[in-house]
Amino acid sequence: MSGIELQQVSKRFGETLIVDAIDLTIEDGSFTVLLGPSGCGKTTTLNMISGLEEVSAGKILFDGREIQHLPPHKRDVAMVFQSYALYPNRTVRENIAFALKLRKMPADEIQHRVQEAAELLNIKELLGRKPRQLSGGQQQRVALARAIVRRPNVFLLDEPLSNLDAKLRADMRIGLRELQKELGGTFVYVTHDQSEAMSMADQVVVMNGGIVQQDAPPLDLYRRPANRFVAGFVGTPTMNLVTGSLGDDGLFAGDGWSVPTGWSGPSHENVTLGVRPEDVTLSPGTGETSGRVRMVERLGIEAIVVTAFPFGDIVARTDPDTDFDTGADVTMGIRAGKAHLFDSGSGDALPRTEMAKEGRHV
Amino acid sequence: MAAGTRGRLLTRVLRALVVTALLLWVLLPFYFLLLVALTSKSDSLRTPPRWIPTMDFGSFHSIFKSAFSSAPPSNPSDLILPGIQNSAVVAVCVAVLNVVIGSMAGYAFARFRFPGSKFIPGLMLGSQLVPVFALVVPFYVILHSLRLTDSTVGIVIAHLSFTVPFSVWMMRSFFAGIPIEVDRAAMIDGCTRWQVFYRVVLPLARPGIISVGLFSFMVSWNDFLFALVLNSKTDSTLIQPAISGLYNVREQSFGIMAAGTLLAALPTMLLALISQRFLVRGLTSGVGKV
Repeated sequence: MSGIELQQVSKRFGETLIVDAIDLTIEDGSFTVLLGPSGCGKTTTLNMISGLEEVSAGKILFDGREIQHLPPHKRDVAMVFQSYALYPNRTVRENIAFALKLRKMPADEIQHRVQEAAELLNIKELLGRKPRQLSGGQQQRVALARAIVRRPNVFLLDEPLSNLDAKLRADMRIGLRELQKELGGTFVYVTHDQSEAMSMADQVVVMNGGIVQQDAPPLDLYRRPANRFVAGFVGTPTMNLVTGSLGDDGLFAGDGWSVPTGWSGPSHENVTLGVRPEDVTLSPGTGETSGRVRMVERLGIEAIVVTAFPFGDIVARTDPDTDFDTGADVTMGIRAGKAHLFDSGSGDALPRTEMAKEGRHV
Repeated sequence: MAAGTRGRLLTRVLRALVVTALLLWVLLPFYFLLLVALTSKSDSLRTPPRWIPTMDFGSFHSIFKSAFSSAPPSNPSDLILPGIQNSAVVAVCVAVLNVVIGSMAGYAFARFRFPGSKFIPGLMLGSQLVPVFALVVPFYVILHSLRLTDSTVGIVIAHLSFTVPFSVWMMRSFFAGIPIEVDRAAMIDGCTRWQVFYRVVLPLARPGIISVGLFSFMVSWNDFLFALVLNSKTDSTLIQPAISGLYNVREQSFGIMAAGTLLAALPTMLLALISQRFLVRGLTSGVGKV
């Protein structure tokens, strides 16, 4: 097993800075997800851990040992690629056994290990086939078997599920988590899909612009986003974000309207208010801050109500049997303690200690 | 319905006619070659020609008889077999070196970024636009000053100079067609760069290797100009100049010329037939969707 540590790691391609001096600690035996939009530097970070990309600056440590200068084959990492990257001219068996053959392992041991990996991933009957004779899901499992057969300390997965259909993807989420429990290695998983990250990770590292935005367990990330980017990136439907200013009475005010946030503390200009759809309360009638319902999506387990307010559209998650209909006049409130406030300039969350216990409706 | 059947019949007849015409166009010269080679000297120039060979092996006999005598070559026809042998050595060297250089350089150009990695392949392709004739004199001067005229090494170098650029270009496009993730997976699996190349990527590029080997063998085998200019000794002559040496003003021996030409064409024909099978199989099984 290996804990992984990145110290001030940067990657530069020519003039472009892809990863900007990040510090990161990945716990031994954890399932850590690097999450971010495309181009955020997450795959580059993974490739630097694997050794496929060299670091431009900084150190990478496995269990306290510096390894950033080592080529991939000396790092004892396994990797699963988005395209699976199976060897097209080799059978499934040869694909899985290749890494062991390179290590000159005795044939009966190879046979045993391949069998074991194939059993674990339920691909025993595919061992004699070539990759092109397999479905996407089967290729994916072969790629996983190829990774686990070596029993490495670190597993790196680069969007391994994004080429699968929705049903298979959901199954594989569970499968991967179980696999990790069974093998016990350190998993580093790259994805742009926040629901994948939330459902699988022990720890989520949100990246954007080559910088770590937040490094926290999934629920912390959801409940206490460190900045406006994380707040907007994690959660579906996304968090409602409105700009305005905060008075010392806790009233968040925009141009000719206001809403109580339940915050107490110093007033603050240039604030962005963030409210998750499930924390928006809507009540019928008109008031100081009223809007008109634009659309109601009844999804069975819930309804999504989109309301046009003077300051923009607000998405609320409500009871599926909600009485609201398109065109209805409603006023908006925020559930107690559920308002998030961010500095509009830096994007950073305002310190939570300022939050009071009570929230009120308009 | 009757009209439809008749239409279909017409198409088939037309198709058969076109195919027959094409076949005749390609094969008739060969048949005539065979005819002349297997006809006695007196019969070979008759008008109208005899369409059935007399099965006279005299021409082949005079080519082969020198192979079993220890006497030094006295006739131009005595140089056919040594010429084939010399050409085989040269062409095999050229083919092997093209495969080695082409695949290694092609891989580097396809996978690594270094100063000139974009520019040099274009330059190489551009060099193919220069007529080969323009290179004969410079090559003679250079190789002569290096004392490499009249030698196998010299002619191999000359042949490499106009085959390698194409081979590099071709191997580069083959490697570029193999997803880079395959290289990366191999490195993660424990390959060194060199192992990635020869254990993983090279087997995938087999159709390319066969094409490059075949192409360079044929270019080398069929070269006449360099083989003529860069060599003046009879015992190191290549096959193409040896055949042209049969053309003698005093005594026209069409039978021996035809027989020599047939023998010279045999290796490339066999090679094409054999490698064609590998080429087709390679193309269907190699670089597929990964």
